[in-house]
Amino acid sequence: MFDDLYMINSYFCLPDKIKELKIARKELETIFYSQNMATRTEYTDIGIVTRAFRLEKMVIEHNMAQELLNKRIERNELRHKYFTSYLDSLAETDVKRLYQRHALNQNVFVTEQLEEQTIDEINEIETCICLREGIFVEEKLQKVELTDDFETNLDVLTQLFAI
Amino acid sequence: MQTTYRLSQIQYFLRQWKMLEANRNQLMPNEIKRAKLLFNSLSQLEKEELKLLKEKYYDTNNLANFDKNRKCYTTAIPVNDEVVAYKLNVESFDYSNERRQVERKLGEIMIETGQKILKTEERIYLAINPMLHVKHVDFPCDDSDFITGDIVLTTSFLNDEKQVFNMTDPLTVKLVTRLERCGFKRVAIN
Repeated sequence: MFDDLYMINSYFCLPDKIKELKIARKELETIFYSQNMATRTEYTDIGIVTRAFRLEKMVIEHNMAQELLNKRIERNELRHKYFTSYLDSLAETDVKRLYQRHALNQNVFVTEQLEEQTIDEINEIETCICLREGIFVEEKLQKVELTDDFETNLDVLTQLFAI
Repeated sequence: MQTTYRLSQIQYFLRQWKMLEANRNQLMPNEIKRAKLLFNSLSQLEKEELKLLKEKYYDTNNLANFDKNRKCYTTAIPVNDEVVAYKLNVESFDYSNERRQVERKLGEIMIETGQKILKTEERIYLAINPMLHVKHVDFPCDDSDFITGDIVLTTSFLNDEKQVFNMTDPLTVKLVTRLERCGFKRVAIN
């Protein structure tokens, strides 16, 4: 409940995130192939020692790192795909307002109903991605709604912020 | 979660009362801490006392401190004492006196609830008054109830010099309970 403040903003930033990850994937290869793979001698505490490039260890580590990055890119692309398909279903002015408010950080009025709808949609996408990996998701705290009565409101708030 | 509260510090909390309630779904982490302290201590006041505070701090339409990131106001400007006194049909001098008494009572309750909240936290400092924090205490080597060795205190506000008590360890829990019996109080780390 408290942590969906920057949720919509992060979803609008997804294309930039994917670009950064792809650049990181390229850098990983250049780093791997720019190291010395020849056998060499080293001066250590024991004396002069020959040391070789550990092929089995290094290649597996490199492959693992690549796999992790590929998974992250795949996940973010899925998020982007579902989110754009949701934005297509909205009216054009609504999309423009959401973009101006959350991505460009401008002071534009957006109705509460629209914001709740988008946050619900984002939560659904997140649960979808978690279930693909086989992770069980806990249910989020629901939004607290207050009445016009002052004293019952205080009771509700003390329960919300209980020690 | 301090050991003492000045009157202006209590009023600082009360000014945020209305907007903490309105922005309850999008609070920052430090605001959640403040809300915990405020709402838990406000509910312990009596109805008549609450009404006095509510007229001044809650029933206003003047909002201030606009937050650009969240697009919402964070504080409310309180109503003037004379206006509230005119509403309640009492003299403004009497009203402001009563209000100050209630605020002082609220401050005492806030110290108690602060200690209650600190009991659930894992890492804490200890202090004997607002100026003097514990710098170093020896851990007891046996099960006796006496504290062996000296207790070193500091007046500095630097966090490096104060000793951190980790409450997940059962030995430190024993030590802290002994020190609390001597009059030391818990202080939050940040």
